[in-house]
Amino acid sequence: MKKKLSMLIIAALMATTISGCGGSGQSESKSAETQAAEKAETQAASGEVESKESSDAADDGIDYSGTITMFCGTEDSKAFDAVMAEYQKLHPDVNIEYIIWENVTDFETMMTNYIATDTLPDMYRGQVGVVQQQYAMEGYLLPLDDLDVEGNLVNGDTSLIKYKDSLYSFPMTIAYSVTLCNNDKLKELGIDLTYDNYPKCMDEFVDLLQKCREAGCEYPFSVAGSDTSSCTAWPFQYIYQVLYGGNPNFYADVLSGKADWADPEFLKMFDEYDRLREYMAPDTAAKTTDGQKADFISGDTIFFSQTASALTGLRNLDPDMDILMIPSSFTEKPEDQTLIGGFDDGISITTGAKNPELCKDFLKFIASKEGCEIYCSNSSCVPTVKGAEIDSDPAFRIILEIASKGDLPNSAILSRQWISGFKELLKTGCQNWLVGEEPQSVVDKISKEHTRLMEASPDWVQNFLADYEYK
Amino acid sequence: MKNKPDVMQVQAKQNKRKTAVAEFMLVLPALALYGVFVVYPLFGGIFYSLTDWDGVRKTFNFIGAKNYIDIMHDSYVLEPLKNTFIYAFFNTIILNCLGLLMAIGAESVRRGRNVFRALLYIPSVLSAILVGFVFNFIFDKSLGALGKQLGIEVMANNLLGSKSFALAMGILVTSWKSAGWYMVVYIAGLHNIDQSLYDAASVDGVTGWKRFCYVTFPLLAPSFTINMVLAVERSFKQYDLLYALTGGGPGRASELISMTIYNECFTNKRAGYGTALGIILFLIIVVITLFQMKVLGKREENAR
Repeated sequence: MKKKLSMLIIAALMATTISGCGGSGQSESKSAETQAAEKAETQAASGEVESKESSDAADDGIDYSGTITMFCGTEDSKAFDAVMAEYQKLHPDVNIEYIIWENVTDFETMMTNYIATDTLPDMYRGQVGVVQQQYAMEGYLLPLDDLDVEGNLVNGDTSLIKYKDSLYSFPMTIAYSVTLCNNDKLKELGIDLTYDNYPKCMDEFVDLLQKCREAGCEYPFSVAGSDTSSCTAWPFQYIYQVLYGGNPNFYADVLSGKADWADPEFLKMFDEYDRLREYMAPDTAAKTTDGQKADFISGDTIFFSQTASALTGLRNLDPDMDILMIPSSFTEKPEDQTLIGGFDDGISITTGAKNPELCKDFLKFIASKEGCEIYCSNSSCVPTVKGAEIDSDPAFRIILEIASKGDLPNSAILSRQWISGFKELLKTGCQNWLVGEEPQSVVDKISKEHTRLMEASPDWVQNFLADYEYK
Repeated sequence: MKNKPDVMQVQAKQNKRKTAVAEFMLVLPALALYGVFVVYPLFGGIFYSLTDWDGVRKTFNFIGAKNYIDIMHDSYVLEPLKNTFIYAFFNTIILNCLGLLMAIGAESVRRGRNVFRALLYIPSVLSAILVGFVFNFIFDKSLGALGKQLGIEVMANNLLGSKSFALAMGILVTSWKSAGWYMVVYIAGLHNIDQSLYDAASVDGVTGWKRFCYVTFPLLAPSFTINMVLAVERSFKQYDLLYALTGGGPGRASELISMTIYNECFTNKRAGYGTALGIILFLIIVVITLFQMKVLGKREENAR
């Protein structure tokens, strides 16, 4: 009897605990979400018909309320907070909360999970590229055409932010893929790098590295060999500048079987990079991005290849450091040098948005001249909206002068038009090379594994080639 | 009219049934959680492994055993599979040796035994990711500086950047982190050994190493079985620590099969194929575990 009684008590306690937890959780979530959900339902029901009218909500004086869930990078929240602070002057009951991704791989992994569990965040800021187009194709993104924001954009290639002529992503920056320089260290070594004398080709860059070594910096060039982004920024720059310079249709040719990664054109990259190898520290293969940043800030190294967005992280670590960004200089001849850049940091609204009209209104605000200026002033972004002016970070001084004068032709960032898994494949290849594998063996492996990816995704290859416009 | 014994029998049966229902109700929450978090994903995984789902599309095709057939011909998975077996083999041996040594050492301490045990156990409660990043720093800075001092080039240039050493360093760091857990199981086993057996051994003049070989180790058989099985199973499933430590590199030198599964599912957008690899990993673990249970079970019986 005692045993039975105690079992019943335990069962009752457990049931109470379970139902108690569930109950309170339910009521909490309900109270937190009721307003937004009810409003979203109402708006979603009327949204399809009235989207055009409500996109002008701010102007029409509609009072929005609710919380926007923004899925964005580590460094973005400060910029979004600043924009939201201004937006709240119009709509005080709107808030923003963040889900943070650390890198592009993180972003894609988390998005896959959100898709699988049907829990997409309201909006996200992601790298502009072919993945966004895939999301748009599968119906996970809302078209932004009714916001009429495309006209706000400065001139640029919009092919990667659109799908079937509809805008799905509004880019917040023009990403330049550059060589970052520690100008403090250069000055300390007595080297003055200016708009007139920055290196224009590989020979000049190697000469500059040699000068740095002679002046006392033993390993002036750095690659974070263990990091995918750093390890691939470097070869991607070569691919845009040199490989695409020689054959802009190289990748389409690879996919159609007319070219191969084992071809001499790509193999030559490793011969060229071999010249840089001696200026890189012996522990490059295991170097992390944190280690690279530490070396860069301390002056142990002076140059590294990366997109301009790396500046934000460096500024957080040392706001006063004199950093310079110059075009990558991997071409054989100065006249072949290009400036690599294109729209990036795209903001999209997902079909999982609880309050799509609020999200659209917020996006319209960010995409305005005022919103863009606030966003870019609080990040290291180069404004993409016509007329938007900010006090750009001095690190951009050479790049922006080149861009404004149109000195160099632009190599559009087409990196994102690769088959899924290519970036990882390129990283593995470069790591193999960094630890001493023969270039021919490295490119053979890249070729073999790329073929494997093509065989695994024949639809993607077919669609790419069907949509591809030969240059 | 029923007689008294019959009534009692019926009552006893009813009571038994009630008790069974009450017991089942108690187990039900755990069963439900097990169903949701283990059984459902397992069958979900088996289902997706038979499809060509890319992890993004809303639709997918049922392709039967194609993923499994492709895996059999895919040389791409051989290297991580080989790495995983090497990792599991050495990890299991080192973890058990270290765990046993630590357990015996901790038990032989007379004062501050609990503090000593706690110190040895602490690494196993640390986050694997955290341990990975901290050791990344140690290999880069501390061991790098030591390597420079000693003139050992490979150590000075960071052992994690060497194809020959990256996986071995992964094994060492895992052993450092996890040995405390295995130590606890061995300590429990040591406590279960009857002191009179040691006394008898002493009377017979058996001490030291012989006492360990003929008394302690055979009687630790149940603990040994648990630790061996769990060490192999955990080693095959290892992901986070190695990911934080080496990312599978340089190249694919320290890539384990769990990383390949992740890459196939999320990076290469081949969720169906990656899931099929996951199912194969599951089968490998089941087969090895059953084999271990059979062999080690016999050893346990012999020890009795």
